[in-house]
Amino acid sequence: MSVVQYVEGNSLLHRLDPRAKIIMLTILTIIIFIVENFLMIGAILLTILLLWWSARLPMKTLASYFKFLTGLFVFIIVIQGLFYSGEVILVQPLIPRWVPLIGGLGKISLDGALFGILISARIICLICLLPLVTMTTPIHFFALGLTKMGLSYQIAYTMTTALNTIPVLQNEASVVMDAQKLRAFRVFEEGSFVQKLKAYPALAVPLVIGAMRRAQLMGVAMDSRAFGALKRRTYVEDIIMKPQDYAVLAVFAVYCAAVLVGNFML
Amino acid sequence: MKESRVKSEQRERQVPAGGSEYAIEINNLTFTYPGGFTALKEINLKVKRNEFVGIIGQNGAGKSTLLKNITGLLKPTKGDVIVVGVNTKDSTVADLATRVGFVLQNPDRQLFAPTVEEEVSFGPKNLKLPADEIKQRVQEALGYVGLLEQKDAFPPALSKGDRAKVVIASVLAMRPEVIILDEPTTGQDFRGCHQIMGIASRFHEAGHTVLVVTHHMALVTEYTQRTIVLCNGTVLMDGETREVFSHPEMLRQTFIVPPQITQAGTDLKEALMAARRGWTPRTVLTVKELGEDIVAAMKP
Ligand SMILES: Nc1ncnc2c1ncn2[C@@H]1O[C@H](COP(=O)(O)OP(=O)(O)OP(=O)(O)O)[C@@H](O)[C@H]1O
Ligand SMILES: [Mg+2]
Repeated sequence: MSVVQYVEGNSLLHRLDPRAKIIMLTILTIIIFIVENFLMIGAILLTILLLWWSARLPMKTLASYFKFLTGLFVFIIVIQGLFYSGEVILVQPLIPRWVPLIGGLGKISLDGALFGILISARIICLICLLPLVTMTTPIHFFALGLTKMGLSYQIAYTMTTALNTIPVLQNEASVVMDAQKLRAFRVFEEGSFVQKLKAYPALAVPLVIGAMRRAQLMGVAMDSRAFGALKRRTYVEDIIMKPQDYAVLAVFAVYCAAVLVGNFML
Repeated sequence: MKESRVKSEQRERQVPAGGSEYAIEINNLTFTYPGGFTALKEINLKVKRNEFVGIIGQNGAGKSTLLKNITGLLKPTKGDVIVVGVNTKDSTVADLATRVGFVLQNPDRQLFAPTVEEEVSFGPKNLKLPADEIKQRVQEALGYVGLLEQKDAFPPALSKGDRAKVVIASVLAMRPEVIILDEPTTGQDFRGCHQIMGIASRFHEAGHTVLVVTHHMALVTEYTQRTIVLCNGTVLMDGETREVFSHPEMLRQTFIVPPQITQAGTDLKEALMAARRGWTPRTVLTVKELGEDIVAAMKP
């Protein structure tokens, strides 16, 4: 389940200027938090799925997000239903009213469940949105886009390094999991969801130690190449906003307006 | 009660042990990674019980992929891998782990417990053994690698050689029938290399099967009886170590050069053959052997 690995391609999303993509990502993220209308959040999700398809990003990865998050969504919807009071009750109290203190608890309200669904829809939108940028933009272009938008090179570099580290950490986690399986640890092969959740924290120790070792080495390597010595940098590969990029941004503006109007009018 | 449990376990172990003369049987193994890269092509190999096998080949030859297929971490795309009588397809890694122990490449990444003792007891605990048996196995495994005194140490803080030994001890504590080591000597100093190979060697002498991948040719020639050369996912050569290192021209195909001592021996052999017709000395594998051959050559 890789989130940030660049996927080779030549779709419209691949060819867009990273700055255009970053702007759209930011605005759409804000809109996802604003929108409360089910139709509109559904429309956004559909748009994101269509973009996945048009950029030929791996549908398998997309499916794995949904699979991975189903449990969380059920949890959110139930919890919201339980603690959000509303008029319409879907499930009657699980604990009879005459029980002292906790009597009457355990009813699931419609409003709460709907709110839970909205939160779940937002989460899945956000999670599917990010790879539309990270999987279609080579990481150094992403950093270049950020610096051209005014972010300091140091910070952009830190961010891209962090993104680059994710696949390394994923790989290291799978090595530790392999090592544990080789010592008859069954949870990753045949354990329940809860058992797996309990087993993950143990992976953190070797991962953190490894990350600290790497960070130290990297610091030395960067210092020895005079990182940050020059305040103004030049770039081997440059990026320029093309008419195509402006056109896409214009279409995006209309789309956002439509979604917001839809949200407040419907 | 406890004793009978241990005994029945031993009996269980002996059933597959008597079953076949081979520790590992690989039939027509082809393995393709999810990305579509075929790392192993039509591999056929049989490893007898109590063999000490070296596996060599350039970076990317497919050595680690082969070992992962043997231990069940990867399952064959085509073909079968049978380990101590069990087809890896019908088993889990955890179940295979009591038959075949595997020390992965780069020991540092395999340490996850806060103390050496806990690291080594992790496997036996997963086997749900009684507490005193676990204790005994940890003692035994740490004694085997010579780390009894460091049992309370924090594994990442140990020296590189000791970290490798902790991983080996943790695998030995599973009491496997076969042990497989993936580049255990990479990055180790001279002493570390020989200590690690010494552990493998003692395990072999105790009647077990050992497979070692290494880029140190001098260790292959000194310790192993049989050498398998992998090249681009196929078996380039497979035979007695002495035989394999008698063909430097073939080894060169996969960028392997025999140890310097073997090369010196070959030079000596050619010189002697020119001087004394009809006399063909063996391919030299160790310094000791070269010494013996020089002495033999000096005799009239
Ligand atoms: N997870 C993976 N996905 C795709 N290809 C892989 C993967 N792991 C390894 N490979 C490829 O398979 C080939 C064999 O890799 P393998 O790790 O088995 O080589 P090796 O002989 O162990 O090399 P080394 O001496 O470097 O350890 C290599 O070309 C490698 O790039
Ligand atoms: Mg390898």
